Amino acid sequence: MMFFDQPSRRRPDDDQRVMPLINVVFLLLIFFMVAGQLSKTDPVQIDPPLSESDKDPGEHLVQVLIAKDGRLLLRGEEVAFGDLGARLGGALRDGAGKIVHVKADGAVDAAQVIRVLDVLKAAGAEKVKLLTSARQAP
Amino acid sequence: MRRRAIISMTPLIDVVFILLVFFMLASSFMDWRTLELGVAKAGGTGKMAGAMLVELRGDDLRLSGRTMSEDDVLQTLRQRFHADPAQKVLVKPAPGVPLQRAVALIDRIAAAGGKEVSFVASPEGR
Repeated sequence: MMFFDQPSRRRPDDDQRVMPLINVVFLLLIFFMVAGQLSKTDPVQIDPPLSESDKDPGEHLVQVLIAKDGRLLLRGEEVAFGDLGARLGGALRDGAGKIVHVKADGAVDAAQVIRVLDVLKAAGAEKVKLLTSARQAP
Repeated sequence: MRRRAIISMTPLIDVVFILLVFFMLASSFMDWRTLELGVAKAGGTGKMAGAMLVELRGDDLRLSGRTMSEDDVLQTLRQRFHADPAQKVLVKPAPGVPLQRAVALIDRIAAAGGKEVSFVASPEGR
């Protein structure tokens, strides 16, 4: 006999009965594969400010994260505000485009973000873009 | 007579479920957008001459030094944009103002027709 005997309590058409479940699970799987994007998660949680801006992020050379408590992160490493310019200088010197993305939490002090933007511009960034999240439709 | 399945369904469902859980946890549905920001020097260079200054403080707004409601500020700016579409606007958040509020104000200025909106730092220790 090629197959093991089914225990008597299992109905012979078990496979048929789970087919709708598999169909739904397959559809969910395909939905999540197609609709979501796989991306590296940030080392700190950031709730970006909501905005009505409709510009796509596009490419960037460097990304600076500003956490809710004001810490700065560059390439996943914490950086002191004073060192930011020096650490960026190398990256911005030989890159084309020189677009820097700033991903800041919406609750961060705006004055601090401006100080970071100042440093980025001084370090040679051509364009500084603040990442925002699309406002939820009411 | 029913045709017997060559592969049994249970291992298949296991794998599909694991894939489903993986994609549910790993995918993000965040809709990222960007706001391009200019930063003007607090000292005031010639490039920003003639710009309207909007000061964003704890509770109120000041347009060129006069305290106004947000609607009045936007109304005034709208008239300026009508007269000169290239009118520059500087947004100066006071220390302690959350970024969300500054971004919301920039949004509204952009909606009123502002094409060049820049941040300007307020002097330290104020």
